[in-house]
Amino acid sequence: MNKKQKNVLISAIILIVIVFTVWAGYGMEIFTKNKVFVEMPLTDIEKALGLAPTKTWQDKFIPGLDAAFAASAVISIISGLLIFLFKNKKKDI
Amino acid sequence: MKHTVAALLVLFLAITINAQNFSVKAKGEQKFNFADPGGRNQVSFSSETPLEDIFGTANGISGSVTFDPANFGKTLKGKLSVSVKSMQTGISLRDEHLRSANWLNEAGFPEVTFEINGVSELKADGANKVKGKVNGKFSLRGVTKDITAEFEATYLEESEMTQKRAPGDLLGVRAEFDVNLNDFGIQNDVVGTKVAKMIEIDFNVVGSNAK
Repeated sequence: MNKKQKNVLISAIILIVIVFTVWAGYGMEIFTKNKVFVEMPLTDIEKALGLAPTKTWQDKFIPGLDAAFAASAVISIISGLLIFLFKNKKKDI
Repeated sequence: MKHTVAALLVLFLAITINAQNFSVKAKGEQKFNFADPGGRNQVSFSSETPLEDIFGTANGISGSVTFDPANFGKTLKGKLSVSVKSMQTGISLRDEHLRSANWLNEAGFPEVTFEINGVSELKADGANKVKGKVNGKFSLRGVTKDITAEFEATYLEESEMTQKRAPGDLLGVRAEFDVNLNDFGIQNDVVGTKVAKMIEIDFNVVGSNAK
């Protein structure tokens, strides 16, 4: 493995680690979500009526393990191609 | 002595029976409508999967119940409907699966309904609150099954406070029951994962008797 290939490999590993760090930072969800629910605080009338808090959905992108694997696969394919392209060509003697 | 015991017994029974009703000014049959243009009435559903728990809500609720506040247990009847289109689970793709023909089949059966047959095990829980079990016919995806749900209902007479929510007397209802998906012919595969056979459903709704 030449220097260029090593650089590509190390960059790919670092990017994949970043992808999984971001995934962990978003709460390690299994599936990617585009909405999250938020519990609304109970009003006085809702308390008097014995109701539970209403949930509302807010638009928010939460990357899941599926997205992390997809991003890692893309990084692996691109780095694999680059490693292939950067391989040393055999010289005829 | 016998008369005193009998009188006390009659008084106790009268209090007990009355305690299972609502002590309110409204007389005769009252109709409470659960359509909520504000979308705060909500049905939520949850399911456990091997990978993660699924939680969803639906706000497209319509329907009504009627009852005589003085005889709640024997006069309660009505029907509530939930629009399949209003169901959300936080993942657009999963929502599409939920509405598809394999699942709730929105095109063929746009609403999930619960028609009340009667109540049982009614108990008072405070002045204007009753708890018990409501029995009814639950229809999902064109299949109808008898379901018993635990519920509690709170009756509030119209006041300045209640008018902030809606005009008229208000009836707050919470009910919960489990549904077995297999009973309704649902293939429980969603986005590659298995959903539990049992889905827990919670009603959290307010109705108004304003005309």
